[in-house]
Amino acid sequence: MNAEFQSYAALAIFLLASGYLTIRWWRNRKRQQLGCGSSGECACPTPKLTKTR
Amino acid sequence: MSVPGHLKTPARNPVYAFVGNPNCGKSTLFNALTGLKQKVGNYPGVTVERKVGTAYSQHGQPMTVIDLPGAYSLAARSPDEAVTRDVLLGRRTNDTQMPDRIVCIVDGSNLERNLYLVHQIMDLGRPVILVINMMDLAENAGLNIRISQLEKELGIPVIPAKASQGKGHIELKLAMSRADLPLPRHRWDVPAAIAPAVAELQASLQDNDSKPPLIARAEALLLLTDQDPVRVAGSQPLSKRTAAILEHWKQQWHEEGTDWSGTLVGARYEAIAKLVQGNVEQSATVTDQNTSDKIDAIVTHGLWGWVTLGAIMTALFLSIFTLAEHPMNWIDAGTVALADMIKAAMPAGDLRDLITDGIIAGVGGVVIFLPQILILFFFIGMLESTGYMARAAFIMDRLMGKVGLNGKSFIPLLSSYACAIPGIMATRTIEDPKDRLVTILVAPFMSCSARLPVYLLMIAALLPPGEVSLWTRVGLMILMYALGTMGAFGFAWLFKRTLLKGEPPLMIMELPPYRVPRFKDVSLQMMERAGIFLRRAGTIILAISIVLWGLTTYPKSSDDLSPGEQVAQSYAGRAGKLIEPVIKPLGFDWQIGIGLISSFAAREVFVSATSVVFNVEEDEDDTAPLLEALRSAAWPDGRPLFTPLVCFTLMIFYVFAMQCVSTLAVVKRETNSWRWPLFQVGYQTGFAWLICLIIYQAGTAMGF
Repeated sequence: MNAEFQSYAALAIFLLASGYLTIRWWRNRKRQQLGCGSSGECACPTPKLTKTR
Repeated sequence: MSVPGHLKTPARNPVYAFVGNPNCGKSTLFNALTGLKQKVGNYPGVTVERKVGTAYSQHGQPMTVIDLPGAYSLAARSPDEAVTRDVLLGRRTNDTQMPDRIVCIVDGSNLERNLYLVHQIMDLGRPVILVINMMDLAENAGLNIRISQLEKELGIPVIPAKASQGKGHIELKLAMSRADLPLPRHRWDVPAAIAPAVAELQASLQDNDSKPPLIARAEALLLLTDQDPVRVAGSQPLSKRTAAILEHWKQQWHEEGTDWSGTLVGARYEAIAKLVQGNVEQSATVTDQNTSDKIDAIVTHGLWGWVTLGAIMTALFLSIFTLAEHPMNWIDAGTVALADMIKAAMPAGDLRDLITDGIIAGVGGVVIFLPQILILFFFIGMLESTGYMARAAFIMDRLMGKVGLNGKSFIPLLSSYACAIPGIMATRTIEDPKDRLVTILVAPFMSCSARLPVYLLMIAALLPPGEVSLWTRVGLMILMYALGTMGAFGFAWLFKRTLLKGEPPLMIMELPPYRVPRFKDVSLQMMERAGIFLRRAGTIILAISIVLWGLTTYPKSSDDLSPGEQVAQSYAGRAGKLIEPVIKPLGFDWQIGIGLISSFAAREVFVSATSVVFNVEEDEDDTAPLLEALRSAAWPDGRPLFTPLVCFTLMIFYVFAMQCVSTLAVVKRETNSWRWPLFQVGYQTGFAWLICLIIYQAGTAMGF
C-alpha cells in the first residue's frame, strides 16, 4: 500500500464522511420543517391559534 | 341476531388508544402488548407524546395501539393532555388515526378520581375496555373492588391487572381480540338546566364546525366545563356561530348566577360516587400510615429531604469515579493497543494516520466514557422507577417558588441531567405557557450526560488521580452540576421578573407510592442509552472525527513542516485562529477553539476533537494517551496550555454555554419559532464567555 494510494483512499473517506454529515443535516432540517404546527407532531400552538389568542 | 356495524371490528386493523390518568401503568401495558420499549417510570408525566405500536390478537390479527400521555380530564390544561384530547376527538387524523376502541387504564387505589376521565370517554360513544391496574396497591389500601358487578353496571369488559408483574395482560389481549366489543351502558344524565345549552352547542358544532354527532356532544360538554374555549377548541378555533352560542349561554347563566361549570363537574362526580359506592368496599383494617408515608416523612422533610438529595448526588458521583475506573482503563488500553498495532502493520501514509489519529483517537476518546454514562443512567433509572423523582420535585417546590416557578418545572430540569431534549419535551406537563417557556429556556443549563466526558477529561487533566483525593474530584464534579442548576434557577428568576412576568402557580402533583425498582426496566433503559451512545459514536462522532482529521490535514503543505505547524496551517487551524482573539482572553488557544466549534454538533465531540487535534500533533510511531498529549500541549512561548486554571475555566464554559444543535432544533419545534433558540444561544454563550473571562482574568491576576 504505497503513500499515493493511501492519500487517495484517505481523501475518499474524508469526502464520504463530509457527504454523510451534509445529507444528515439536510434530512433533519426537512423533518423539522414538517414537525411543527403543520403535522401536529409537536405540542406548540399553531400560528392560527396564537393569533386567536 | 347480527351485531350492529359500528361495534364490529373494522375491516382494517382496529385502532386502540390507551388512555388514563398519569402514572397509572399505560406505557407498561403498551410495552407488554406491543413488545416495544417505551420509557416507563414511577412519576407522572413520563409519556408526553403519543406512541404507536402493533399488538396481535389471539387469532394473530394485527391491532394498532396508541399509547397516549396521561390526562386527568379531556379538558386539557397542558400540552401533553392536549395530545390525548386531540387524538381522542379525531383532531390529529393527519398523522394519527382516530381510535376505534378505547382502553381506559385506571389506578385501582385511586378509583374515584381516575373514573372522571373514564366517564368523559364513555361520552364519546366508542367501545371501551376498563383495566383496573395496581390491584395490589388497592388490596394493600384495604379496597375490595367488585369487578363482575362493575362490569355488569358499566356494560363493558373490566379487567383487574398488576401490569408491572405481568398480570392481566392475557385477559386484556383477549378482550381486545373480541369482534363485538359492547358500547358502555351510560348512566349519566346532563343536568336539566344545562341540557338545552348542550343540545344547542352540539347542533352548532355539527353544522358549523363539521363535527360528528357524538364528538360534537363531548366537545359541547367540554366547552361548558372549561373556562377557556380556545383551550378546549385546541388547534381549531371555534366557528363564529358556535362561539356566539357559547357566549350567549355564559352571559345568561352569569346573569342568573348559575355555576354552570361546577354543576356539570358535580353531576359527573355524583354519578361516579354512586358507581364507586356500590362496587368498592373499604375494609376497616387499614393502617394510618403505610410504608410510603413513613419514607416520605424523611425524604420530604425540610432538613432530611435535602440531606437525602445530597447523599444521593454524592453516591452518584462517587460511583462514577470509582466503579468506572477499571473498565475505562481497559477501553483506553484497548484503543491505544489497536492504534499501535495498525501503526506497526501499515506503512506510513495518510490512510494510516486517518485510521489511528482520526478514527481510533476520535471515537475511542468518546467510547472510553461509556462506563460512566451507564452508571449515570443506572442512577437516573433507579430514581425514576422508585418514585423519588416526584419527591425531589416536592422538596424543590419551595426553592422553585422563590425563582417564580413551581416544583413541576423541576422534573423536566431533572430529566435534563440525562439529556436536555427529553427534558424540554417533558415541559409539556406544565400548564402555564410562560412557565413552560422559562423552563425550556433554562433546561440546557442542567449538566447533561454529553458534558460528562468533558468534565471528566478536564478533571483528570486538572487533578491527576494519584495526586489528589477522590473526594476532591467528586467535589469538583458536584460543583459543576450545582453551578449548572444555580444558573438555571438564576436565569429563571430573571426571566420571571422581566421577559415572562407572572405569579408562580400552585403545584398540584401526585406523589406516587414507592415501588421496588424493576431491574428489567432500569437495565433496559441503560442498554438503550448505551445503544444510543455507541450509535452516535459509530455514526456522527465517527464522521466528525474523520472530517476533523481531514480539516487538520488539508491543505497539505509542500514544505517539510512539523505536525504542529501542519495543523496550524490547516483549514481547522485557520478556523481556530479565526476565533482565537475572542477566546484568548479566557485562556484558550486556537486548538481548544477547534474543539469548541466542533462541540456545536454534540458536546462530547470536544473530546474526540481534542483527541484528533492533539494526537495529530504527536509523533508518528507511538500513540500517546490523550491526557499525556494534553499535559504536554503548550503555547508557542512554551507555557503549558492546559493549566489548572484553564481546565477549570473550560469546564465552566461547558456548564453555561449553549452548544447543542439538536437541543436548539427541539426548542424551535416546541416554541414554534427560531426566536427563542437563537435567544438561548446568545444569552447562554454570552454569559458563559463573560463568567469565564472573569474567572480566568481574576485567577491569572491572583497568580494561578
